[in-house]
Amino acid sequence: MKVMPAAAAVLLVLVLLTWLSFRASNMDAERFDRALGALDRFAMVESALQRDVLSARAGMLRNYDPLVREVTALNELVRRLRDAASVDAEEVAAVDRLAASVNRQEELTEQFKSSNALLQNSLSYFRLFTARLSEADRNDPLAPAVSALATAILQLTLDTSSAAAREVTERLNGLATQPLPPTDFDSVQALLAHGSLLNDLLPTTDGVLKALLDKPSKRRQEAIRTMLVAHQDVLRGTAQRYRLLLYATHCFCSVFLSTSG
Amino acid sequence: MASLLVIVATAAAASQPEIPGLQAPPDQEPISSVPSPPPADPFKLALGERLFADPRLSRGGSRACSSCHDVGTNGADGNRHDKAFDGSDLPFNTTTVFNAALSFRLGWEGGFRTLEAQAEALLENSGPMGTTIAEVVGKLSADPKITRQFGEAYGHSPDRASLLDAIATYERSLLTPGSRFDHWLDGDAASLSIEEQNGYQLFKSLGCVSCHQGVNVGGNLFQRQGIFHPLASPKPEILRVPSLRNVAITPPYFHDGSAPTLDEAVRRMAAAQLDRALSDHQVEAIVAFLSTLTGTYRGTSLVVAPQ
Repeated sequence: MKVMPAAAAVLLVLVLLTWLSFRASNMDAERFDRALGALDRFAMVESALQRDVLSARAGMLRNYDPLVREVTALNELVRRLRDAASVDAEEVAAVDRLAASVNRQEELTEQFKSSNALLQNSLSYFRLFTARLSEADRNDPLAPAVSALATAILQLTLDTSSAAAREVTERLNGLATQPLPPTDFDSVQALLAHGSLLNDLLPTTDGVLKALLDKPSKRRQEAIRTMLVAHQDVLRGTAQRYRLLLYATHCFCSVFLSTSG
Repeated sequence: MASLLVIVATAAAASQPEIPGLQAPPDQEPISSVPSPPPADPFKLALGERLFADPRLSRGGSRACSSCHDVGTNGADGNRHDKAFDGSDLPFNTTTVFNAALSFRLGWEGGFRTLEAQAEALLENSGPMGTTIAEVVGKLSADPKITRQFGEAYGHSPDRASLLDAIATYERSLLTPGSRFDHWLDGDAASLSIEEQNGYQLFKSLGCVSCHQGVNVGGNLFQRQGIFHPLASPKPEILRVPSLRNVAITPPYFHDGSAPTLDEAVRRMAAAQLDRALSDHQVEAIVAFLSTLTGTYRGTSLVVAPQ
């Protein structure tokens, strides 16, 4: 008859120890590690995207595949963060805000690629036709107008303010009203076409670049990181308390068994 | 004047270069080689290939994906526009399925991000396939042989997700490495003739490469068409830049299929997008280069589809 209460007591202690072990193990630690890892990776990829966008603008990167890969990676990392944060409404909302930043960055990157492709071409053609119309042995009335336009465009590459753009417009108009010798007609028309395109593209592309480099997602990343670390600390504290309880239970059981014979 | 000198000094970069002889590619070319197809589950791949040629994926069982995307030739067909079920023209020229997996968006307007999403839309669109996924799954589920194949590949009978995944898995395998240009990129200087190398240099110096770059020689950005002059049908104004891989064997060209030959397409593109009137010699050189982008599928070079 004494066997039954003893077996029940052992079972109860086993259940208690198992439950305490489970609560002391901080099962969510891996989820937080994954989320924080994804956040670190996100910051790296975002920096790589900004570096590559700048390289492309400078004409040093002539292939948009890296930009595509980076935007894809940002979207994938947001998906991983969403998976990791799926149990907490506050975290979900923060990840949604980060996802909105990524959508905006993707939109800006697409605008950048499209305008930069045209910009690089028009810069090359503008140089080509300026050179053709400014050959050393030429001495015609077009030269001052071409030179003034080239100066204005060069200024616009350094300063895309509306004042600089207005100056280019005036120089374009100035050249367009010049009487053109038939031999130069095609070159001047091409110079005007590409100069006009540059007048639109340089400020537009710079605007897109500035928006991309503003790091709109940095604040949102930090918000998620703070939230994750705070939740992780709470869970670590809870696990620590359960480890102490587990230890106390072990001590109690050891004392009880040794004194009860 | 100083600024003029700065601009003039770099003008040579945009002029046509002279090439003394066969050259190995520099380290950082704007185009990279087509990779081998990614590893895939052979059961899913075989199922996807079978589904791609299965007419049960269309209304009335009258056409399969392969009816317009002939993987035995160029991955497309020779028609300017394929037909919808009501006999009308589909809005866009059919693009090749080869290397579609390397593009960042799919379709002329770039409306799809994944092959699965595109396959789903095409199956359910009243134009190309005119059916529903539920109807297709129903038909496939009634076939014990293909149901067994789904079981081997996915562990269950046909459903929406496994149907789309099988098709996309097969499409991801439709890459065409081994073009002469890729051999040249990989260091085999003799793969391209001098004329073809001149064509490539011209392709770069004229600015074609600004949009047509990357592994797929395009397919990684959107661009406005008709920048300086009209190119083709004005709508849509913004298109996903098409890939030029295998372009020599995929006529007709442009979203409306309005350019029957590559010569004409090159000439019209230069005028519309670059404001340049190319000479016959320049067109020939660029076409010679573009012809080196034709790759191989299952060890065989791709060929033009019959009209």
